[in-house]
Amino acid sequence: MIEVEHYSKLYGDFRAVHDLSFTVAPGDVLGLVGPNGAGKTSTLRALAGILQPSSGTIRINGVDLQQEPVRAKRQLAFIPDEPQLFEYLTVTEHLRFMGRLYGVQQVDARIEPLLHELELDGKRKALPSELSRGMKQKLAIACGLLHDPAALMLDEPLTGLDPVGIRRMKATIADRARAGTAVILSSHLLHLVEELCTRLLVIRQGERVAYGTVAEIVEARPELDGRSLEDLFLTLTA
Amino acid sequence: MSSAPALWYLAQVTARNRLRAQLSRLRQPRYVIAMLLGGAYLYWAISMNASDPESPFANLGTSTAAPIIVAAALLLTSARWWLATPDRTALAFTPAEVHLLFPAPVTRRALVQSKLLRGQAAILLNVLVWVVLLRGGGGTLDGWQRGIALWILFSTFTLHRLAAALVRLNLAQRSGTARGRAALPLLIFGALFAIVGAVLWQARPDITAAWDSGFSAVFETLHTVLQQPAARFALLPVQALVAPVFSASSGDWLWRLGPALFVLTLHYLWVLRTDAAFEEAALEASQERAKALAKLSGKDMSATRSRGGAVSRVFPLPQWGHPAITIAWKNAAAAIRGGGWLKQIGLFFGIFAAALFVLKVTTGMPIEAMLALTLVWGAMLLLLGPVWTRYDLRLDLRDLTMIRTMPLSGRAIVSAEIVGVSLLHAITIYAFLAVPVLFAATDRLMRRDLLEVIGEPLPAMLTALLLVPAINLLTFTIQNGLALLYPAWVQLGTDRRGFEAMGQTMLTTGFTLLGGAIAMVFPVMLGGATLFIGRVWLGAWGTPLAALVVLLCLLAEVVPIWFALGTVFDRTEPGDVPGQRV
Repeated sequence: MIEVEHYSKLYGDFRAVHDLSFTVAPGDVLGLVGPNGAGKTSTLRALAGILQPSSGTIRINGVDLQQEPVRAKRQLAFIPDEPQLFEYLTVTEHLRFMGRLYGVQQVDARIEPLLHELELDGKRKALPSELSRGMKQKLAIACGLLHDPAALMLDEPLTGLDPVGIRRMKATIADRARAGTAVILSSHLLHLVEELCTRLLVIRQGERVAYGTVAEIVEARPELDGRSLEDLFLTLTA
Repeated sequence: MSSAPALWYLAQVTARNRLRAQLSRLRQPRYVIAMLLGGAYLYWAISMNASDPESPFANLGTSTAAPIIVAAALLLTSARWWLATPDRTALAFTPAEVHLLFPAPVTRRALVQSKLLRGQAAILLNVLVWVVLLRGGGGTLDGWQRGIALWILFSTFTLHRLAAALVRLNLAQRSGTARGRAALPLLIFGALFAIVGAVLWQARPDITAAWDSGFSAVFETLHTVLQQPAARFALLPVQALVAPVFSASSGDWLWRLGPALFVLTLHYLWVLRTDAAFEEAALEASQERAKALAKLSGKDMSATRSRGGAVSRVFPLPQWGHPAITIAWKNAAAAIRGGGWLKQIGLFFGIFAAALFVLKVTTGMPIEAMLALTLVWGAMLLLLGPVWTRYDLRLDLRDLTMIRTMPLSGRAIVSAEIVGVSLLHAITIYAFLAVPVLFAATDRLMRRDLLEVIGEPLPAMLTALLLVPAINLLTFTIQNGLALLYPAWVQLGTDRRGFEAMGQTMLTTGFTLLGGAIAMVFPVMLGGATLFIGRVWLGAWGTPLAALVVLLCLLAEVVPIWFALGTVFDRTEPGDVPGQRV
């Protein structure tokens, strides 16, 4: 469960996000969409504990991220759009490192299926500099999934993946949600959002302009009825 | 159409924006405090203290020996640009310059001028640092006068380095008589190096003999040796550059400025007229630099594989203790795989052992002298090591976005970063200290002499084992504290090479030494008292007891600092740290 109440973020005088509130229940996949500069990254980074909110509360599985950051972070995973890896650790060492950091028991037993799931079996001893962009992305995702997070946040997770990788990634995200993980997915690929997300949060200039299932959004804005998600997005963010 | 206005605009706007970005940091009180303290210090150092006869460099201006010795040192330092592997980095441009300026209708001369202009920021910073360091030198020169003299000196050497790179590039590109012409500067400078080198080599016995009478005697001997006509002739151009820096009066300074400006102008014209199609080499150099930087910052680790394809081995990740151990472990992996830390240890050990061996064979150096040399160099390594061993927050702050998602508190991260790198550097120093012990182990007489000097071996070893990490914890705390408190003003990453980093390195080193000295007062007093009492009650074992007291006192000082820095870490956002990798 991810709970956000009245979250605002200021950079000096600039208001990046203003009074944002939403909830992601276990098993839900929330699509976070908005034009460039809408505040999506600031929101995701605050949810991951990277940025300090200027005001508001963020709770991960009931744990306040500001009050108990370490406990809250143990239950979440953030996968940025640009995979961030330690270039001096091999694939397996990355996973062992993350396992130790998050206190994962029987880490080797968990690493094996994960490597297989993400098609990294043959790259166990590779350093990130020896991996393709897509492989790096898969490794970043594997690092995020290793500790079975209760909350998973993904920023453009399909960037750099080949068609097979894209299909597998979509399946992985759906599987995690079915297993009870609260997922937030930020992407400009509206077909991906449409396919995977159970709810939508549309933001523009740091403010929420729509939130709910597509049906709920249309109910609140009847003029959007019958339009494609792309049209809906363009109208809401215009 | 001239490209000069566009390049001038680029330089101007870049400088203005960089300054604005730095000044925007002053919104935070800690930057304001540092700025005020730094400004006050600069004012005192340059204006108020300019004629302090007690300052450390007070005799330099009137010293007749200093200019020629400094000139010889500078000439011999520049020899590597001519004689070692070609210095391609002198030709390197930034990636943006390569991608935007190289395909643009800009002449080669304009590109070179643009590069020289860009280098001025680093030169001016170094001028400022040296003006402060040389304050009171002679007591008669104003700060601005010494500043101009230093600017001429540094600018000429920057031009000389670039000229050497261009000449050597020319040499590689030409053939026949053109190659002969291109080789002329190499031959001239080669001859100058050979003359000065030969004079110093011949004077070897006098210099060695002077060591026994102290540093001043060596200084005077070098002065006498370099007064020989051949050496004086070879050093003439460098002396012309150095002379204004060591002027004893304003009139003297003005008189010496002319020849220095002449040498600078000659260098400028030489660089602009050197006909080398350098774009390709510059592109290669830029790529090499990017690769080297990437390697040092941990982006390119391909070189860490052996020929057989195996990755350099790292000790296993400990499965016990606090999860923050993982931070120290990954930094050790970075040091081993990215920084060649083990090779560095081998190199220190090998070179020092070889030097001691040569000294022993040629001069019959006794173990006492070996020990003294080891302690002097070990102390240098101990105090200056934190400048180049940077596998700590200075490496990780650029990955703040990733590090902050980890389920670790700020204080745990800061503590792990500092303890990890302190232990890593301690191992480097232990290896260094082991050299005379190994010598003694192979020779019975030396072993006897060594035991006479140090007394019982176990207490002596235990003392070193305790003191080295204690001092490391202190110096690395200061270095990491500076990086965390002033991330926008401290260069992050593992690379500390190059002229650009010199000024900053000197500032942080100075701060570390000053802060370290203050922090050591109480531990040294308590350790001294323990030693005094401990030697009476415990004999030789009183020394490690005193070292333990020093370690505990230092821990009592640094642990609260780590906790405070942890709070700062928790409040630091990626936007506060320039150069985030994502």
